[in-house]
Amino acid sequence: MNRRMSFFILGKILLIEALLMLPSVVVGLIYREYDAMLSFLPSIGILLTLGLLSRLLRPRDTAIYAKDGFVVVALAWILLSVFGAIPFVLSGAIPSYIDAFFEIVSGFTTTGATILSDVEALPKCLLFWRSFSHWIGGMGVLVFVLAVMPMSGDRTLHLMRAEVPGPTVGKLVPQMRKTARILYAVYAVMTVILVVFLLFGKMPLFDAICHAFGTAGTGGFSIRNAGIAFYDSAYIDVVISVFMILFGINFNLYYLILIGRVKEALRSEELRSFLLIALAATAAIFANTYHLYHSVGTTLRHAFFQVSSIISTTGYASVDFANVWPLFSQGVLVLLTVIGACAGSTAGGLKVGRIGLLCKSAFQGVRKAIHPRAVTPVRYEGKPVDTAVIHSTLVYFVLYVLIICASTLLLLLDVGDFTTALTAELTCINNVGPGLSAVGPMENFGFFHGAAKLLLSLNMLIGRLEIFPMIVLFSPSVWRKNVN
Amino acid sequence: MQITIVGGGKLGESVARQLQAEGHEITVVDKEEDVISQLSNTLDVIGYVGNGASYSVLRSAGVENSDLLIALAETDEVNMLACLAAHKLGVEHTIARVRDPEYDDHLYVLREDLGLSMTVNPEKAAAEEIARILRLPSATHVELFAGGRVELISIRLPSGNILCDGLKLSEFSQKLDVTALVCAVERNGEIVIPGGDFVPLAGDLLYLAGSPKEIETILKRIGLLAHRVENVIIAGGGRVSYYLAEELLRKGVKVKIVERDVEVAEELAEKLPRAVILQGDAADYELLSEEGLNRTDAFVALTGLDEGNILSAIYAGKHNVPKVIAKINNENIASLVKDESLETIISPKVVTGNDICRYVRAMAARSPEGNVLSLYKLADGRVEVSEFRAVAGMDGLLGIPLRDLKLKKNILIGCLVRDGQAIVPHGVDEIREGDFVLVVSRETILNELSDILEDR
Repeated sequence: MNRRMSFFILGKILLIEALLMLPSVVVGLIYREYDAMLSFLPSIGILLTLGLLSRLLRPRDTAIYAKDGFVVVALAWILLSVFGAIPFVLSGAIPSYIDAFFEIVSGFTTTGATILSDVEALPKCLLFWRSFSHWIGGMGVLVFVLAVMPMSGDRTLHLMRAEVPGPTVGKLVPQMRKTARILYAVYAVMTVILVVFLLFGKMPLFDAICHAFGTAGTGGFSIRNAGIAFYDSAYIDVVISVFMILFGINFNLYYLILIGRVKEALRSEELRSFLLIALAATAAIFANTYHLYHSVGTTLRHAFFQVSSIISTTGYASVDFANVWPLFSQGVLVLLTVIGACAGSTAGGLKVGRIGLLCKSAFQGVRKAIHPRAVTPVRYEGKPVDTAVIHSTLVYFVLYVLIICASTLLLLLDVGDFTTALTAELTCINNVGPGLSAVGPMENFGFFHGAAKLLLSLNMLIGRLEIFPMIVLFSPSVWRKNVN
Repeated sequence: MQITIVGGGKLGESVARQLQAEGHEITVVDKEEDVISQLSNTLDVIGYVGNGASYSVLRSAGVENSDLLIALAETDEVNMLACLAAHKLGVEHTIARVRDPEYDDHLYVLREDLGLSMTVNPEKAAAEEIARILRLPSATHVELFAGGRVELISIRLPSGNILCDGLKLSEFSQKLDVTALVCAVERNGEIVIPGGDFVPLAGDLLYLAGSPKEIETILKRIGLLAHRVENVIIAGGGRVSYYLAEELLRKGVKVKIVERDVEVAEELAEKLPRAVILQGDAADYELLSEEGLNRTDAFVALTGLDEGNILSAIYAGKHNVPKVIAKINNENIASLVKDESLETIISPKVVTGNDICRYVRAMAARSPEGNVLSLYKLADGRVEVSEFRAVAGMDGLLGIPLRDLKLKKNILIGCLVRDGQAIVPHGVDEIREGDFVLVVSRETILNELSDILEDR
């Protein structure tokens, strides 16, 4: 692999992270939290030093191959988290480094699971950094680097492919740089619109910005202990529900709409399935929880909010569904945790597109059993799907299930009940946030053993980067000097 | 500019690579999914799978927003249809690759109806380049600029030549009483743009620019003007051979073609009655010797096999054939060949790629942003020769003696063309409005003439 080039790109990423810490410093200055603000400066110093040092490595061969793309992306996300955790520790807000690491990984991977029991005690600049990490992690750091840094465009698709969620990655326009810029522009504009909507709902500006970051990245960190329920406003609940769904849609479709190909965008099979699943889940939960609220409006509001929050893998909660709701509704939410939203969005989960492909190839298998000679290609988005794509989707699913089984088993060493272990694992690998039982929406992950926290952090990274980059990173053959 | 390329084969890929590096937005359409995924992995382009001649495929690839469509698919018919469809969709410029001599001959009839701005024929272009080189056999390459008024040739200095007497370049023009300029020198694989105090050595590859007459004079003075090529042996009877033989026969050169396939040989004999067509294996050295390999003025290897071409060319070189040329389709192989008897290697792909890029540059020049009229790449693309037109308003450049201009490093003004006359510039000359200026540059991308100046 091309180590020089890989480290060169990693250096750029560290510089970018230093840059991304600056808004938090500004927030610290505004709110006069000088002690907490100062805790950012050593991290920025380290990042700048390492980033500038790596400039010395200017490589002659700038080619990036598929495995380099995986390794760079995986390392980048680990390094981002390693350095991003430092301010929490230095400021004393989260004294244990492992806790801080878990918190920032949860931020960057847009999971939103927290180890803090009292969020409101944190200084505002750290709260901002936590929420801002959702926003960066949602669209991706590498995509950001591609958008702002001058870099030769050849082969950079490997970087983007390793970072953007979904089974296949398409560019919007021929040049990678412009594609990355369009994606970030759409993302930023939608975030600003959401902030404006929240301000109309009488949410304070700082809260609106932080919650907009959490929604846009489909993360789920709140700056209130009670989460969105704190505001107790139907308007805010509805606005956030709608936007969580919007951020769960493939961003390529927004581009199609922008250039006037609206019909094409609305014809997307993945989008239709996604909305259909959300609708069906809302209806099911509505019927199952109506007896709790005795009001069509309130029941609908809570059912839609929870469904939208979980299927988009955001993880906000307007009610404590883990304790209040019947088991059936909880089961629906766990299913939604696994399904996730659309490919090419900021959401996690298996992705509706993959589920669609898996179901269709399963049905095709059944049909083959009945008519062994039937020629029936699996079709998705109106086109026959290449068997190679189906194969890699199956491989992905198998790895996904294996990782869940192994991690759940390990977590059972630490926690007492099966529901907690399984839903903690599912919620982490799918980047959702809340689970059931002891990790429900009003609980936190603070009680886990340090090793379990690291395991869950790893799972969050595996889920955000869609398994392969992390596995490639830990494959010895990638690191061997000789070619084999 | 937005450019759509139909066909992602060898030529399509190489053109896409070059144009993408020059900052254009490239869309590639190919019917093979593998080709598209490979291309979009290695280049910063967007790909569409589909038949590039189909109206609906071109529409979904967004061709109507393109400024130019380049059709380089396998078959001529697809290329012409793709251009026609693109034309109907409102693409102003289209380039089609048309290779079949039967179409090529009568293309002027259809050109307008098909909306073609330009057709490229790699085999014909390669043949034309070979013919140019055969006119000046001591040159390893010959390029034409400014509508043929300026020639750029490369020659390898043999030992004992008067140019390698330890004289500086600046002393030559007086000694030889000619005005031609050494634009670039390749020595041991390194390429330099020489200053006046550069001392050439035997074995250097010199790039000389000047009017064709001056070039001929200087070659005569330094004793490198070999006598005219009067008979040529061509190995292989493909399209390049056909075009080359036709061109050479027109100039009265005697041509022998060795072709293995009986039918092809018969067809050639029918089309080229004045050439001698031999049916046999070009790798059969016995046959070549029998047909007078050691008495011929030039040997050109044009079979479909790169390795065979190289080997038979080297073989001919070892048998004292004065000029040996080999055709190659894969340039990676060419870079491996370091044999002094084989200096001239022609790749139809590279020749055509340069032609297309030159057209694109000219298009960009007409747009407000740039004004490069044409661009040639020398020495595997390490040196560029760009042609500019000096227009009014270039402050700090026009009307100033060249020796007072602060040029960037690795930049040389190779030639001026004023009122149809080529001028080899000296320090006292100045660039005037309306001049065509040839600029030789290394490791610098020039978008306009004023880019040659040191940044202020």
